Amino acid sequence: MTPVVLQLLNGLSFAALLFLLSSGFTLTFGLARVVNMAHGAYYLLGGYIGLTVIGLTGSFVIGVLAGGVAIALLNAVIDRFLIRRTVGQPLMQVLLTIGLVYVIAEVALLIWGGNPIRVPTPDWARGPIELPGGIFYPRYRFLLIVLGAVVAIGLWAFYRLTPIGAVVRAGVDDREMVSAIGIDIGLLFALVFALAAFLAGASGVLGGAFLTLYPHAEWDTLILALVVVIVGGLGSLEGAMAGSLIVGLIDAFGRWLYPEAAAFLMFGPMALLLLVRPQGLFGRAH
Amino acid sequence: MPEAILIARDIRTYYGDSYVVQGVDLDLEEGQTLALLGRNGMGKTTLIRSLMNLTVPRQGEVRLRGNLISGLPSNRIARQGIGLIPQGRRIFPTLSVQENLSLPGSVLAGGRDRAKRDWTLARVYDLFPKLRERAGQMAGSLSGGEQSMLAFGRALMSNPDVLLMDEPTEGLAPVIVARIGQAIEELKRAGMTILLVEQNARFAESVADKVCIMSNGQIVFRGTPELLEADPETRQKWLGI
Repeated sequence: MTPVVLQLLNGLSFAALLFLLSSGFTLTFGLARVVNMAHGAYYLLGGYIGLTVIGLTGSFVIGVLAGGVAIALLNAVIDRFLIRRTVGQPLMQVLLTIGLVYVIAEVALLIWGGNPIRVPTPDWARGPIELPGGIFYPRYRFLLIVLGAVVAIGLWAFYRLTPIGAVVRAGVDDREMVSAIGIDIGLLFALVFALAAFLAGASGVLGGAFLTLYPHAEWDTLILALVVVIVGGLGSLEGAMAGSLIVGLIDAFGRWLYPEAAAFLMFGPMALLLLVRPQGLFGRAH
Repeated sequence: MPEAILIARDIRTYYGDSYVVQGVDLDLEEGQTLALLGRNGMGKTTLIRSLMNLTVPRQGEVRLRGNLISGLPSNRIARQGIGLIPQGRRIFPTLSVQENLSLPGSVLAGGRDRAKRDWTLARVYDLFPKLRERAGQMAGSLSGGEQSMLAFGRALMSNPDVLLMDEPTEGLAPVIVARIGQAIEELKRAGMTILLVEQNARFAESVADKVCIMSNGQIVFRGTPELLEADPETRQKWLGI
């Protein structure tokens, strides 16, 4: 029984990280039709920046916030001067943002080197935590599950229950009509972009504490985010939740039960799902 | 003659290489309902879209109360006081009826910019009681007629001085068309200025003060509904009725 629970917790904590990473990614796509391939590079760079800030300040929380804020600012510049120029040209956008992945990863390699680095966890998150039933589990990963759940509920409530959330949902439905009733869609995009970039950068710090930061993580992370949003449905927050849980749990149980087929277990079901439901679980057919 | 509230001069709009609106002038006087008739594909919708800069005209000028609005982003044109009931209604299907109606007052819409606050949720619900019953329902699950009323109410909630309506009766049952007609009459009594694009000439003639006919991107007839009704030759030639 205990190993099943442990794998379940592993799956949930990975899912929490995946949700933090992909919720902004999916909303950016749903609202602005921008597929930002640099999202994984944002994760990695945010993680490295957080690492450095933790080294300077000694505070894990400040490191997480700094990683998020730095990436939100970087993204504002990239959006303003580069991504804006590719509006309505998806192929250009993909090429541009893939180019950015190389640039960002190369800069990170120059500054932080090529060896995997683990972001140090704070004292209050170290060691095991005893759960009911006498199960011991790493405290940090347990807290990550809690954080993921809190952010998921907060984002969901913001998206579903607040007036600004309604504007975002309206923008996913029909951007042009949102403009035609007087709403500054550019401002709305900027808000959602900033949120998405912040979450990507912050999750780099959070993820770096147990997955380490290493060259090529920009691609591994991008692929996972893509699988999550494709399975869940592009543009859907609920889809990002479901996709994160599915990918997180498949990853944990796949590695445990069929380690030699773990990659197939991740992509096989995705391919099958796309055959049956090309728009993903929560996506809408266009 | 009173100064027109909305003036469009020499609007020319292209879709790629095709020349859709070919130099149109329009004058809307305050409180007037102007119907724009014409067959399908004659440029009526493109003209309406050009007025709000949803499709960017290559040339021309639009003024609202004397202020130049052409070239502004659509959201700023809306804030200056132009409301749109678009072709196909285009309500936000995944939002509730009440959310649809509340969006134009959102802070992101500069809800507090405009001094004019004539239209409230309660007043829209009084105009269309059906919407009050459906307030919590997803807009996508409404019937076609209810969606029309919602698109109507949503446009009013931005408190426009001028309302652009692009075929509000398209595909609706006669009883609903009559209901929309009543709503237009009520708005007229309240002093609203309306530009109505219609295929349904009889409906348009019944509510309009003035009528224009558009053909191949140009205005080919201007007059009163009575004049048009008394002119079977013009009706036959440009409207096929």
